[in-house]
Amino acid sequence: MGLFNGEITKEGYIPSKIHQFLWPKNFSGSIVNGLGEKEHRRPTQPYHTHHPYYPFGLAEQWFIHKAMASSRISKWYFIHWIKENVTRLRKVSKQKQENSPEHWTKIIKEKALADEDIHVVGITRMNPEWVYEDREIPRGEWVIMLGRRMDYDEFSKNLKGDFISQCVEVIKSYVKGQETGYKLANWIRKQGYYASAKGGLSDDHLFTVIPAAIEAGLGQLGKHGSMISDELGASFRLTPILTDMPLTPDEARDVGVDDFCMTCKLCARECPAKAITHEKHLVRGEMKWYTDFDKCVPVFNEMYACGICIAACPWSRPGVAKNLSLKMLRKRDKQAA
Amino acid sequence: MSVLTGLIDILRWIIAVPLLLISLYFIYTNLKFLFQNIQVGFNAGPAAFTLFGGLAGCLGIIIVPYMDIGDRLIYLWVPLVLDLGSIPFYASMIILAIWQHINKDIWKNYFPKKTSHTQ
Repeated sequence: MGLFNGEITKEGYIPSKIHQFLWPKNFSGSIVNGLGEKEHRRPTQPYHTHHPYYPFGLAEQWFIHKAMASSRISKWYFIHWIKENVTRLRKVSKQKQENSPEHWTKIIKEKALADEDIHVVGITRMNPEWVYEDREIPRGEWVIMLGRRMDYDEFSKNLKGDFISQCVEVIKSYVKGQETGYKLANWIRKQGYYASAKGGLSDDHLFTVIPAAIEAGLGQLGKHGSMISDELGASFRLTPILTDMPLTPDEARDVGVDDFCMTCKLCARECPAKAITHEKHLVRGEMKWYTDFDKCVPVFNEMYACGICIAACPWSRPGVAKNLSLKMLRKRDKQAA
Repeated sequence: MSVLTGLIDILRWIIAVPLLLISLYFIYTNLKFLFQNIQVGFNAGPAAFTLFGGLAGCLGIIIVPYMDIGDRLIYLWVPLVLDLGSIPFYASMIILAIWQHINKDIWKNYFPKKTSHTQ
């Protein structure tokens, strides 16, 4: 372990001396996340608040500054920042176009998927339970969830030690998703309905997007704490759009992820932080896969957002997810019969 | 003044003015961000873009062909101090880091900030 770089050992990850200095003492992100809590409550944002005055703020600044030292990362982060701060959504048209929810849903999905950067789209009703507990419930009855497949060849370079390419691919995906999100939100506003779009790197996160994406039928939560889709595997990024336009919801789907993750040990084995466990945990009144925040985040900070678990996940390999999902569902049907 | 010196001066204006405007943009944006963060009680308000505004301003001051270089250099601190993402940000970070290191229980009462248990 050095001053600027941590060390991967058999037992886990030892952060750099600077990271250890900046990491909060006598505090755990798992408490914020509600690990072990029996009662249901709205989530609290433990990380990525982007301002430094919170327990993990200094460590997050270390992550940002270390990442920004790479010209490739800073270039894409700058593009994202400019787009987010310069782009203004058009005013909501006063003339509201009336149509059936089915019609709007069909058009929205066609428009989203017509964009080469969007590969899956789902719709669900906004659930206030997803909103961080210290935020106001945002406007918009519906969530349109856009998913963009990451370039697996680029992303999986982290398995060979190239974490910068992986990080660039993540930011690029958010930028592209955000572009389509803005386009779609503007189109909805033109029809006379409120809409807002925020990419994953946005500063003002309001709600947890994974539960919304699961409800929108895009997939299920994987053992590594990221979502797994039966179309895109685990290697994709989400962009939510909130709107008042009347739409019809998709349904949450079981795509066989749970059955698979119960026996697969790949992500847990590959995780440099040893932050992934083989059991589900009680988190805010719900049994779910949980990644140990306090072990995961130091690696995330010092290895350019890491992403090893997603790259190692068998679902992420191109062309695998669909067949794997069908195989798991068939296997379960056989066992039930 | 030769034609060449004149051309160089024009070129310096062409480079310096955008740099100074960029610096002003970041000074304004970061100030705006601070007020937005105060409004939401530092609960994930927008982020400042660090150092960029200050450095762009410094470069602009160095390049601009106005006054003697010696007279200009004494103003180098201005963009670095006015841009909240530059000296004010890093100074506050250093203070917070030292304070956090001395007072290990600084975040003890940070959570739960607010409970909103639901059924």
